[in-house]
Amino acid sequence: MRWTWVITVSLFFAPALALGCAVCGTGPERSRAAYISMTALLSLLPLTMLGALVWLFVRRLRRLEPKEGPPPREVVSEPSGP
Amino acid sequence: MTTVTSTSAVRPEPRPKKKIAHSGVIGMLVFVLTEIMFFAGLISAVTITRSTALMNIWPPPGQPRLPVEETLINTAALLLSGVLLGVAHFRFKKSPELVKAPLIAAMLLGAAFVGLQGAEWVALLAQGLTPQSSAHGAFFYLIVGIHGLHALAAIGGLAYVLRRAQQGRLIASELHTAEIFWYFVVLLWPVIYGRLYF
Repeated sequence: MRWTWVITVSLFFAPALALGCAVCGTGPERSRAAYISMTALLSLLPLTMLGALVWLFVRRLRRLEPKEGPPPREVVSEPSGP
Repeated sequence: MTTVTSTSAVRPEPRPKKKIAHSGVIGMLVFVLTEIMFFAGLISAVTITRSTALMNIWPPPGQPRLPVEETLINTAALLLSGVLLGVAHFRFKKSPELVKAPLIAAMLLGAAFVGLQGAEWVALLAQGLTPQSSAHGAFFYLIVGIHGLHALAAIGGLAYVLRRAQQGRLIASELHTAEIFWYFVVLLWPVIYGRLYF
């Protein structure tokens, strides 16, 4: 759990420290903010939309489920050996 | 002597197939998701280009300012058409016959939006804003032009729905499919307007 926090915090701060992004070393603060915000948008938007679509389908599927419990079972008699 | 006894084996009954949504609706939803990502890429490119503008001056010097006030009327027309399509949606539940009037009004408002945008283009071209004049012009004509093409396609979809309603053969899934595309066109425009015009 502690390592998860360390990795998460590192992912946020390490790119700037290591000059690991396109505008980390140069450019005004405004363009840096634009790059970071647009990267976040383009990364999170598809995940959000797909998540919303899956949530919508699951909700609709649950509504279609019969409310009276499990489906009726068919009892079949089979002959058994001696 | 052999005795035969019977035991009970439980075999579950096959579940009936459930349709969570019409295939046309699902197809349109997936298409709209890809279109949203396409426009997100374009808007992202505009945002980054604007952020690197010299001295934070946008539009670049010598380029005309986009007509914010006039376009507000177009925006209002498009949003109203979306509301009218919502009215058509609820009237369809009462009777498919009742969708015609709001559908025609929505289409007319959509056509007015495209027409006014065309008039705006002519005026801006006369003022010297062309796709080659600057990044400002290139982004404006590219994004607004693609959105306009989507609006025309969506009006075509609404026209198909109207024809089906006039024939008395309109089904809910057809209306819903055309609605999803029109709402995409309507709701995308305020984002483009806010990003390009201000």
